[in-house]
Amino acid sequence: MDGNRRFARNKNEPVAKGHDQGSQALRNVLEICMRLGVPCVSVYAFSIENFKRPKSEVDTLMSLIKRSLLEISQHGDLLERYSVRVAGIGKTEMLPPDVLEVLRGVEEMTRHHKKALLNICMPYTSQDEIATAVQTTVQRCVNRELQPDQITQDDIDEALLTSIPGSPPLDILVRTSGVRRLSNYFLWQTCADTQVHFLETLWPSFGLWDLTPILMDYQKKQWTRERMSKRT
Amino acid sequence: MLRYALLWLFHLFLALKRFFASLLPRKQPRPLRAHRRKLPNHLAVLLSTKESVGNGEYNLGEAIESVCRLVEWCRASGIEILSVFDSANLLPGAWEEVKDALQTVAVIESVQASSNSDAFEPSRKGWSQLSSALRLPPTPPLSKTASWASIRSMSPDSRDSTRAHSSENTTPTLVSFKLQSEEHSRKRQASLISQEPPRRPGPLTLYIISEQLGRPQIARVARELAFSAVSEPVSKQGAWKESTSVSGLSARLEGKKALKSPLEFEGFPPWQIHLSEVTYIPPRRPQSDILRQFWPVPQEFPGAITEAAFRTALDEYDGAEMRFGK
Repeated sequence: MDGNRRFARNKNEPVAKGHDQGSQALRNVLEICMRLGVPCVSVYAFSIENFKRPKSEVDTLMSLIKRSLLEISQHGDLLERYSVRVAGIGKTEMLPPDVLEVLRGVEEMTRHHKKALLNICMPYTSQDEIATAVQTTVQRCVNRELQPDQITQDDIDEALLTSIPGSPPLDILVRTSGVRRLSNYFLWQTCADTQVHFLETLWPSFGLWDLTPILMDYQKKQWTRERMSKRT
Repeated sequence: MLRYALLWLFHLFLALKRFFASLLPRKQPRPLRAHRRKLPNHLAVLLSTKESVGNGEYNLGEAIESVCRLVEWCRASGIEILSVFDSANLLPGAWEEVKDALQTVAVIESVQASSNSDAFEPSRKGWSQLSSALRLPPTPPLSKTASWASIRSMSPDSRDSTRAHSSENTTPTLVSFKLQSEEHSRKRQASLISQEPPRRPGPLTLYIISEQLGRPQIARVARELAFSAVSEPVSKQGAWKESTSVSGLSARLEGKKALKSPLEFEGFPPWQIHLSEVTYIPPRRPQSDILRQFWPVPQEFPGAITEAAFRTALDEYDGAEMRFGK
């Protein structure tokens, strides 16, 4: 979800306004995905590297995250309407206590929702996630639950933070604002069978018009795959 | 039925829109040796064999031709490290053919091929003795400052398919070639680099990397660490945890100096590309089966990477903003 600050600067507005509009864009996109029946959506809300930003901006982002979580978890709102379970993914112990409390509250409240999963990655980096998965796997060996020579890619995969709440394999990754880097997001998940889209659109402007060709590309891939498997 | 017909029409419309957009005149990429404020220290290229797009098949000759072209362009532009990954995994097993082809374009100072057999799996019997002796094959070099750029070239147009199925233990996971800088350009270079003033080709280290250096490598590192962890003496228990931190894994995975229509990474090593600038080179033919019937296919090495695509990638890297979280 890249481009909030640039969006605000382009309109000569404060950065906080850009983040607000980005938050609204997220709600819109989530609504579209839930209506389409997408079972799992993951968003990169805050990177561990983002703590390098000015404190005022970090505080603004944390307030925004807290407010957004409270809004969407309200009775009748998005999470309840579409039975969406929320999972916080990342080094959540680094979050301010009030934000962490709200996150845990939303996770608990949505624990029994079954139709869809929303992963909120914050604060997160993929290398940290992979390292944690390796550590968890090695710990299993120390606990004699697994033999070292039996460790496979699947063991690492199952120990990833995104796997714990039951995320399916990643089909599509989208990065907005014209930046063409993964920036330490979902490296393990993306390297196999994921379609990656780098878009020029800034995140607050991202909507159905941008999402439609992305979904159609995914559809085409599945059809082609079915056709190829019928031939063989 | 009507819904499917409408959907099919939408897809055709999208394919036509993209096809006509690709015909629009584009800004020409700057010459190979043009001054660029930023140049990658290490360029990684993913040669795609994506069959799911329904295109033709991929062959070894085309991959080797792409490697030779990339070597020449990197040396001409001043890039000193090049990694090439092909998703069909043909190149690592054919490294001797790659060497023969490279000898027509460069003087090879040294070649080193490492395989998984270099990182042996100890039996349970000798864990405590073997854990300190465990070593892993060298991995693509680290690029902490995101001085990588990745080009992905679709190879949709070749007709022949050659797939080498080598066992994990005999096919190298990493082959490195050290190429010397040269006094004079080689004869072949003049035919590939268009309208460029002659310049002495620089030195280059070329890595041919295997899919085994991706997720399988991370699993191997985990096995090594687990062997060490279970054989730790009681007094040092927990010492292994530092090795599983991000910095600990980076040291093991990145070595000392050391790697379709929509883009897919097709098994490319994930750890090393966390900050890499990515350039996607779309296929040179339309993605719709219907439109492809009318598109001419280049005669020789139709799917090999082009110089214009390479220069475009360098220009994109030069213009990239690199904030890294800030």
